[in-house]
Amino acid sequence: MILLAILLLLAAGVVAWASERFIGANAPRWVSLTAFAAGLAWAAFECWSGAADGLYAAQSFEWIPRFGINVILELDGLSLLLVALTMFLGIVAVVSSWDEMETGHGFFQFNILWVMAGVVGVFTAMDLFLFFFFWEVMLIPMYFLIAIWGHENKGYASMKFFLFTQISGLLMLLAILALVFFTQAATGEVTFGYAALKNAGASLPADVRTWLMLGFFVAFATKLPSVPFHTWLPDAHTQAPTAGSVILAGILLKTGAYGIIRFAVPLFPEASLDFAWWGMLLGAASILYGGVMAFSQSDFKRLVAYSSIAHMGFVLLGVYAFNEQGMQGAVMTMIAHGFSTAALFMMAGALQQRLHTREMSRMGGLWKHAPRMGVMTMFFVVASVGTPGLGNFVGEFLALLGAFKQNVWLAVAATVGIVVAAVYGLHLLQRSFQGEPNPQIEAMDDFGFREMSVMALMMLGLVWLGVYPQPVLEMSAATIAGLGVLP
Amino acid sequence: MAISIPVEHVLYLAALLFLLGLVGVLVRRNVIFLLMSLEVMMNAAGLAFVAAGAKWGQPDGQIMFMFILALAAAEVAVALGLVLQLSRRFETLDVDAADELSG
Amino acid sequence: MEHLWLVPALPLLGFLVLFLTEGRLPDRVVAVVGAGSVGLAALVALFVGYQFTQSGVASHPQVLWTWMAVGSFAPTVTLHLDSLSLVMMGVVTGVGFLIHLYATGYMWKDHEEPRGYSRFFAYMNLFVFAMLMLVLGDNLLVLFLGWEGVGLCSYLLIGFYHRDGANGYAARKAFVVTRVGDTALALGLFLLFWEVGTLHIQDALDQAAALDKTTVTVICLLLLGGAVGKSAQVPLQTWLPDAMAGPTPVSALIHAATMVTAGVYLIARMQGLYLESADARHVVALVGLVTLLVSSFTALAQTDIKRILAYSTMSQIGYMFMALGVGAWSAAIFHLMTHAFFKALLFLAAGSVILAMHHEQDIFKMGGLRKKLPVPFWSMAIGSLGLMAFPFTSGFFSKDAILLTAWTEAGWLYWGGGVLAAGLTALYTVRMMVITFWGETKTEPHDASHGGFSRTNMWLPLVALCALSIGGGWFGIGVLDDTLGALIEVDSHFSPVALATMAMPILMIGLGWLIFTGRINVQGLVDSAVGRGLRRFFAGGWGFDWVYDRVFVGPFVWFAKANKGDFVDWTYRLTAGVVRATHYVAALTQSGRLRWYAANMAAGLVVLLLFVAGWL
Repeated sequence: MILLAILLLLAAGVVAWASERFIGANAPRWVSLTAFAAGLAWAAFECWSGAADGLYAAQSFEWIPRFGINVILELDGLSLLLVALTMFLGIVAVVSSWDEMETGHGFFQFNILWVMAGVVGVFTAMDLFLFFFFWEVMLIPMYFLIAIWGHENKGYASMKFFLFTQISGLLMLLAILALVFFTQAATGEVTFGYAALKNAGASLPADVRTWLMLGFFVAFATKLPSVPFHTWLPDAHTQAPTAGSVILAGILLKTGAYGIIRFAVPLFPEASLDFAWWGMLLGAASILYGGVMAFSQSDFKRLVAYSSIAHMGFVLLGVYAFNEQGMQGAVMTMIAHGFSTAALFMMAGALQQRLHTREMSRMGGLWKHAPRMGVMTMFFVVASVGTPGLGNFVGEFLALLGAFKQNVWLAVAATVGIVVAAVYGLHLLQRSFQGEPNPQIEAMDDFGFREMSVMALMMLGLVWLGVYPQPVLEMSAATIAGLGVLP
Repeated sequence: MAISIPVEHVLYLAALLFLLGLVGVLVRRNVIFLLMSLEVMMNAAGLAFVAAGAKWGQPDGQIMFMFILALAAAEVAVALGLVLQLSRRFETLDVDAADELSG
Repeated sequence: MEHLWLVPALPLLGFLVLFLTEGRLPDRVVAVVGAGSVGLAALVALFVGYQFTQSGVASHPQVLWTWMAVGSFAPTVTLHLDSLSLVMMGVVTGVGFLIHLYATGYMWKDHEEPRGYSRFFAYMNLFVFAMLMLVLGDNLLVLFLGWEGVGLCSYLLIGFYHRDGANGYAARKAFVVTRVGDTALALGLFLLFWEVGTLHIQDALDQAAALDKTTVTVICLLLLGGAVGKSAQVPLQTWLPDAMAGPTPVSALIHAATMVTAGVYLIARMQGLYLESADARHVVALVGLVTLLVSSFTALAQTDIKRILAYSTMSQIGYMFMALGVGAWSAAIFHLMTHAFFKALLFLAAGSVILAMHHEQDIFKMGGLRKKLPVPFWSMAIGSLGLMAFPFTSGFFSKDAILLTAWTEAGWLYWGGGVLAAGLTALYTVRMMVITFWGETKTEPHDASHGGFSRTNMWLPLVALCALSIGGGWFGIGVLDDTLGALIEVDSHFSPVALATMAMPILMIGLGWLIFTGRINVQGLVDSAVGRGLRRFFAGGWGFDWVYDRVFVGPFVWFAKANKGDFVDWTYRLTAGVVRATHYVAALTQSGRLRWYAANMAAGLVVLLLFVAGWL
C-alpha cells in the first residue's frame, strides 16, 4: 500500500507531464491536485483503519539480497503524521502556484510530484539504502524547481541548495556504509535494515559511534537547517517559486528533523546522549540567531525563511532534551510549522505575484487593499510567534519544558527567543500590511475563494493542533516510545 | 644479408623526424602545414616500429606500420573536413583563430 | 453552576461571528453582537455567581477537556470558580460590558476603514474571552493562554488605527515589553512544573510548603517578572503610557480596568507560593512602592490627559502590588475592583472630552469645559474623587485598607510612601481637572456623537460607573475571605495613623486647588533650573525609555543591520571564493590554442622521459 502510494505520485508526475501536451496547459495541475487528494485520502484511511502493533501499514520484500538491501516500508504514527502533512502541503503547493507559471506546467507538476514521492519514501523507508535512495530522489526535482522557475538569482540559489544537500548527503552515505561494514565485522552479516542496525549499534567502539552519529547529524542538521549549516536556506527560499518554498519549508525541512529523530538518535543513543549538550546549544543558537537574522531582513520571503531556522531550533532543542516532553514538542513544532510557514510563504508568493516585489519597503498599508490577506498574514504571524491556542505554542512550550529539565541555561536562552520572535513577527506585519498605504500601489487583488479555502484549512489545522493536540500527540507517542532512547 | 644499418641510427633518424614534425606543429600556424607536420611525426613513429621489427626479426613492426598508414589516412580524412569547416567559419587557415574553447 | 463555560464562550462566539462575517454585517448588528455577547456573559456570570454564593462551596471546577497529555505533563482545560475568580469574572464581564456599550457609541462612524467597526468589536470580544480564560483557568497553562491572548488583543487594539506608524510602534512596544515578562513567567512555569510535577494551581500550591525555600523564591520572582510586565510595574512599565495610542475604550478596558491588573491577580492566585517566601513578598512590595512613587511624580509633569491617567493606573497598580507584598491580599483585589470602576469611568469620561475636542488630548489646549460638557465633567469629577481616595468613595475604602495594613505589617516606610503617593495622586488629579475644566475655553467643543443612539450608549455606562465609583466600596470584600484569608484587623479607624491617611488626600486637594487656580504662585519654583530639570526628568518617565533604547534596542538593531548578510555565510562564500580562484588559475592554462596544448604535451613528455631516465 505504501509503495503503491509512492508509485501513484511518481506515475502522476509522468501523467501530468504528458497531459500538458495531450490535453492542455490546465491539465497538469488538476492531475497533481487529484494525486495529492488521493494521497491525503489514503493517509486518512490508514489513520482511520488503526494501527496493528504500532504500524498503520507495512511492506517488505527483497531488493538486492546479496548486499542485504530490502525494500522495507513502514508507516507508524510519526510517519503517518508526516505523510499526511506531505499530502496536504502538496495540495497547498499546487494551489499556491496555480497561475504563477507562464510555461512548463507539465514539467513543473512532474517535479512537485516527484519531490513529494521522494519525501513519502524518506518518511517510510526502514532500510538505510532505500532511505538514502529516496533522500536523493527528492533532491533533484527540487533543484529543478528552483533552477527553472525561480526568481532573479535562481542559478546561484539552486546550486547552493544542491551543493549543501549533496555534500552533507555524502557524509551520510559514508556513515551508512561505515555502519554497515562495522556491523558486518561484528556480526558477520551484511544488512542495511534499520532494525538490525539499530541493535548492532551498541557493539561498535565508542569513537566510531560518535563519528558515525556526526555523519548522520551533519546531513540532517544541514537539511533542518541548524546554525551554522543554514545559509543555503534563505537563498533557496527567496529564489524558489511559491510552490517550491511551500514544499521546502513545509516538508523538506521536516525530513531533516525526521532523520534526527528516526536515525541519528536511535542508531547511536549513547553517542547522541553525549552530544545532547551540543545539540541543544545548536538549537538555542538557531532560535536566537535565526530570530535576529529574520529581524534584519527587508525581503518578506527571506524574513520568513530565517524564521524557519528559528523554529527548527526548537526541534533540535526538543529532541536533544532526551525526554518525552521535548521529543513531543519537536514533533508538534514540525507539524505546526508546516502549516504556519507554508501559509506565510504562500502569502509571500501572492504578494510577489501582485506587486512584483518582495521588498517590504515597497509594501506598506496593504490592509487597505486586501483586508483578507491582512487578516491571514496576521493570523499566521500570530501563530508563528507562538501564541497559545495555536499549534506552534504547543510544540514550542513542550520543547522548552523538556529542555528546561535537561539544561536550565540553554532553555533560558532559547526562551528569550520568543521575545525575538515577537520582534520580527510584528515587524513583518507592520511593514507589509500596516502603516501608511504606499502611494505607489493603487490597487491589489484580495484573496479569492481558491486561496481562502486553503488558508482556512491551514487555520483550522493550527487551531485544532493548538486546542486539542491530543490525537496527534498520541500518534507520535507510540513512535517515540518505540525509539527506545528515552529514559 | 645486406649491409646492416645499426638500429640506433634508424632510431636517431626517427627521433629527428619526430622532432622536426613537433617543431612544425608548434611553430606553424597554418593548419595545412600543421597537418603535414603531424604526418611527419606519425611516419617517424612508423619508422621506429619498422626498425624495431627488423631488429627482432618479427612482423609486428611492419603490421603496426600498416595500422599507422590506415590511421593516417583516416585522420587526414577527418582533419581535412575540419580544415574545410575552419576555413568556412573563420575564413582563415590560422589555428590560433579557433581558440573558442579557452577557459 | 454548570453554565460557567458559557461565560467565556459567549464572547468567543461574538468574536467568531464578527470574524467569519468579515465585517459584512451592518454596523448596528455589529454593535448588538459585540456588546450583546459580553452583556449576556455578564448576565450568566451574575447568575452563576448567585448560585455559587448560595451553594456555600469554596470552589467549583468545571473540567472541559484534556489539553495535552505528554508523560506526566497533562494540563486540562478547566474552569475554576472560587471567590477570587468570581470577583475577577464580575469585573471583567460587568465593567467590560459597560465599556463595550460605551464603545458602540464612541466608535460609531469613527474608523478609517469601512469594516473597522466590526474589526474593533471582534478584537474586543476576543479580549474579553482571553481575559476570562486568564481568571477562570485552574491550570497555569490555561492562565498562560489567557495571559498571552490578552497581550495579543492589547497589541491589536493599541495598533487599531494602524495607518499611523506611531501607533504600530506603540503596539509592538507593548507586546514586546510584556513578552519579556512573559518569558520570565514561562520559565517560572517550567521550574514549577519540574519541582512539583504539575501546573494545576491548587495541587501546586498544596505542595509549595514542601519545596526548598530558595526554589520557591526563584519561582515567585519569575512569576513576578510576568506580573511586572503585564501590570506595567517598574522596570517593565515603559509600554503603558505609549499604549494610550489605542482608542479610548481600549485604554479603559484593557489598560485600566482588566488586563493590566492581571499581574495582581496572578500573585493573589499564587498566594500559597508567596506565603512560603518572605523575600519574594518583600520584592513584590518594593516593586509596588517604587512604581507608585515613580509614576506619581511622572504623572505630575504630563500634559496628555490619557498619559496622566495611564501613569495614575501604574501607580494604583503599584498600590495593589504593595498590598500583596505586605500581606493585604484581599485589599489588593478589593482595590483592583474599585480601581476598575473609577478608572474605567475616568477613561470613558476623558474619551468623551477627547471626542468633543476633535481628538485633542493636550489638557493645556482644553480648559473651561465644566459648563459645556456637564456629563463628562461630573463623571470625571466623581472618578477623580475615587482615584484620590476621597473619604467614603469606593477608592477610599480599598486604599485605606492597603495603607493601614502596610502600617501594621510593614512599617513606616511603606505606609509613608503610600501616603506620599496618595498626596501626589490628589495633586496631579486636581491639576488635570482644573486645567481641563476650569479657566478659559481654548478649544470650542462640538457634539461628537452621531445622534441619539451613539449618545445614549455613551451616557448610560458613565452613569452606571459613577454609581459604582461612589458606592462600589460598600460591597465590602468579605466574599474573598475563604480564598485569600480575611483582612488583617486594623486597631482603630480613628488612630492618628488612620486619620493622617485619611487627611492626606483632602489636604492635597486643597493645596492643589490653590496652586492650579493660581492662588498660590509657584511659577518661580517651576521655572528655576532645578524645577525645569525635574520637570523634564519626570515628563520623560524617569529616563527608563532612554536607557532601554541605548542598552537593548540600539545594540540589537545595530547588530541586525550590520549582520544583514549573515556572517556565517562568509565561511561558505570564502570556500566558494577559493574554489573560484583556483578555477581562474587553472583556466589560464586552457587557452584554446591547439599549438599551446601540443607544446605542453611535448614538454610533459620530456619531463616524464627525464623522470623515467632517472635524471630528475
